[in-house]
Amino acid sequence: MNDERDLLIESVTTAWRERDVSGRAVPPPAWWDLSPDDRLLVFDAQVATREFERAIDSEGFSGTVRAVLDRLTQ
Amino acid sequence: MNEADHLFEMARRRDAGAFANWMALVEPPVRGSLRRFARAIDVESALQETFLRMWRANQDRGRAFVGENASLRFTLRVARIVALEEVRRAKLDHLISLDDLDPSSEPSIDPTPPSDPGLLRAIKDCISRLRGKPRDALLTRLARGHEQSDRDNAASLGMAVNTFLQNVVRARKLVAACLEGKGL
Repeated sequence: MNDERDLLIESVTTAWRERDVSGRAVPPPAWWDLSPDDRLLVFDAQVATREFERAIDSEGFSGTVRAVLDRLTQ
Repeated sequence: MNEADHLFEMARRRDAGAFANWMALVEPPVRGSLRRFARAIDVESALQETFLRMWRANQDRGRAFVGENASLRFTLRVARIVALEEVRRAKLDHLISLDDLDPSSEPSIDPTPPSDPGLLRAIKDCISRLRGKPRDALLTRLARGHEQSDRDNAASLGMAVNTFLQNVVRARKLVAACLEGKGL
């Protein structure tokens, strides 16, 4: 894996997402720049990132759970 | 009634905390079920949309969730519907197998082991050994990555976005090496 691709993949691993006018989460712009095979690496990197988040979160929640919870309690 | 269904039932009283605990339980298998779509969709976006729809379904008093593991089984169906919507919206059907494009087929669960408390402790220990900018970048991202963009994460540390991401990547590699040293 090269450095530029590492950064591109890393840039789409968080749970923060822009929303469209209907409120639906949309893929980060960098996601569209990745090949289909690289998107599989993104999937694995997202899984690993969620584990890291669970490890340090006081309630054991991943960023996905936190992001949705924020939406529900806004 | 299993633990997930119990939490899902508790959440019907507009208990967002119970819903969060429910999401934490079902997230790994639901995410795993979406791997087959990962070449064509951003699974993270689809998963968040799935959970938001499940909250709305949860609050619908006219809807019953009956049977063992009902909440997970229903969620897998919703996740599949959301994934197919995303595939079609992006016009990337050609990246998905014909079987997976069939909306009537029964969703299956990829093998997804639950979070291992030992692994989580090891990750926490390895992260605690990080020093300097990689540590700052990774910890900021893990704690606030769900609520703000990397531009804001980087700015909070006085870093350019690219530098911030380079530090995150470096930290991740150091943690991976640490875990490998622990035999994980």
